[in-house]
Amino acid sequence: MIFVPVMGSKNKKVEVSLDRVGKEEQLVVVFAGKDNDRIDLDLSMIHLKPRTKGRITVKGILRDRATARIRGLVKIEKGAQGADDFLEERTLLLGQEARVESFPYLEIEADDVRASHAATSSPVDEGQLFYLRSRGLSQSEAERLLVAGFLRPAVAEVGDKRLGSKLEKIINYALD
Amino acid sequence: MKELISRREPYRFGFSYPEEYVFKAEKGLSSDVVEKISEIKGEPAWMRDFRLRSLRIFEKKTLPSWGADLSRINFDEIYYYLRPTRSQAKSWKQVPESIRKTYDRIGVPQAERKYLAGVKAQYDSEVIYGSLQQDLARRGVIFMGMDEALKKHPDLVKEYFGTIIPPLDNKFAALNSAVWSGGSFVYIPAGVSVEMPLQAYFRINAKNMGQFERTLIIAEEGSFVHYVEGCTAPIYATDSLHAAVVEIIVKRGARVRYTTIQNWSRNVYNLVTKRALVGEDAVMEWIDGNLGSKITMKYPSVYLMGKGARGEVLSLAYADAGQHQDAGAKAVHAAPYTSSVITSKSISRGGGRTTYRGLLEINPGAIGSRANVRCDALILDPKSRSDTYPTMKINEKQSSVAHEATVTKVGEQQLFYLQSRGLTADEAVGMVVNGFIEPIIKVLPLEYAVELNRLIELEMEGSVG
Repeated sequence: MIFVPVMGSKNKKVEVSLDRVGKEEQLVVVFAGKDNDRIDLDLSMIHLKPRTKGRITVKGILRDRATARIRGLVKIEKGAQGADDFLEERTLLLGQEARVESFPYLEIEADDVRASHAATSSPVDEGQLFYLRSRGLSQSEAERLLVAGFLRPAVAEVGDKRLGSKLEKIINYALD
Repeated sequence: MKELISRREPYRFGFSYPEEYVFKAEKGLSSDVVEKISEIKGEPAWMRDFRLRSLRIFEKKTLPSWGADLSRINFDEIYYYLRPTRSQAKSWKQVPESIRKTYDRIGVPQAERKYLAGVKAQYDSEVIYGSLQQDLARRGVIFMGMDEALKKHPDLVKEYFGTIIPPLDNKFAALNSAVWSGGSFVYIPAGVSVEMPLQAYFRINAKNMGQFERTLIIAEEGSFVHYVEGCTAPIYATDSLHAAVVEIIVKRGARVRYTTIQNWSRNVYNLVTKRALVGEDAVMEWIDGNLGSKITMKYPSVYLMGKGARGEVLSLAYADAGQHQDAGAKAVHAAPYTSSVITSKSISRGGGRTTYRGLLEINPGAIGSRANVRCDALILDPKSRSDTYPTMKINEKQSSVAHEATVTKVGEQQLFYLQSRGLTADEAVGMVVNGFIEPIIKVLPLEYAVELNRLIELEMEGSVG
């Protein structure tokens, strides 16, 4: 797995080539922005050979006036039959003036494939927030819990302890 | 199977009758041609100036740097105006025999013939047939050719014309604004609900024929109308250009549905700008089917300007050999509590290419807005291609946006099951494809739904093996 943590203003370009039959790769990007941060992500997964499998997962939170531009591309070249990919971009907007631009692209030139993408953007769920507050948590504690709950699944399945601490850093960056 | 393929006619509607034109402008575009068009039509000075201004914009603007390949359009090889017969026919009987024959050959559906009195038929550049149903007229509904409306309702036309899609919008909107001809003008007074769909039938004839119709629909507060536009065109060796502009205003509490089934012949460039401004609690629905043409670039748009406005776009694209369907939708949320739903279904086969291209924009302050986009693509063979290029610009946190897309092929299991029930491979594929586009078929007027199902079955013949 390729894990890319992004804190604050950064341009990140990652291109993964699946150039061997049956090659599998997973790209996970977790980002956090606050104040006037500008985050620019350019991520692609290129399937050159048959039966390759890829995953791109992008999860992030934006506070204050932070903005993010997320370009994601899954490209399945001619002849890469049996390729399988899923591109996921999810952004949680916490700031009144936070903005996100999302471009989840698919380019498919083979027919025997599974390729899909999903992109969402939403504020923190008011109902969940209300519930946590009613249990005695402060606004910021409740937000922290929901943000952690939103980001953690992106790395959870890998089960690598170091990733957990990296994730903590990202959450701290965004919420302190 | 080979035999079956060879028996398929290249293009069912590919025929044409001798051209009979009263006036044919010279090939190519110049201010002389534009002035001539305006003069022949006897237009007011403001429209002539609008055309000339648009021509200058067209000359300055470049072709879009994105999307389908348009480099092979030769703007100098196109006739920008043709006028088929001297004046608009008052009844069906007065429509020239040869033109009526063309309609017979297309097989205008029975249901449509029954309502022919309400049908606007466009043969080449101008509406040649149009007779308004009497009860509609009594209720204050205006449904006529754009040229006629400019003469009979100049104030209404002047108030709205070019306000939703100004010539500066894009190169083809500018071109249309300079040389537009024909198209429909629809005005629905406040509170009037038109139950019967208003239908227009468009056709292109004549070599290198440019078709630049211009449609304007105004739905006053609380009104309802369903406008249906279907296109078929005969086949020609040289490339043809179709650049229409459709402007729609949906005022408070009104609802407009606009249905298009585009089946241009495989040499037509179909580059259309369609946009609707949607007011408070109003609803706009685009149903857009793109089956024919060589290249289509068309993204029906909803601009949700009033609180609680809703927009819906259903887009269907089918691309076969040599075709590129670059279609999609745009939704701009400019007011609170607006919602939009975009559903796109595309099918590519035989080396065809389908592209979904969409824009979703939530402006600051559009709190409580919701948007949902769903794109499904079906690829029927390894030669074909499908792309998805959505853009989402979210500038308001109190909103919820979701986009989903999938690309698949027809499942082996589905085919096996259907064949085990006694269907041939072709029939099975046809059935799966028809099921795939079902969400669009079910909102079409019946005769179009039947036509489309038949067309899909015809196209799927010889698709397996």
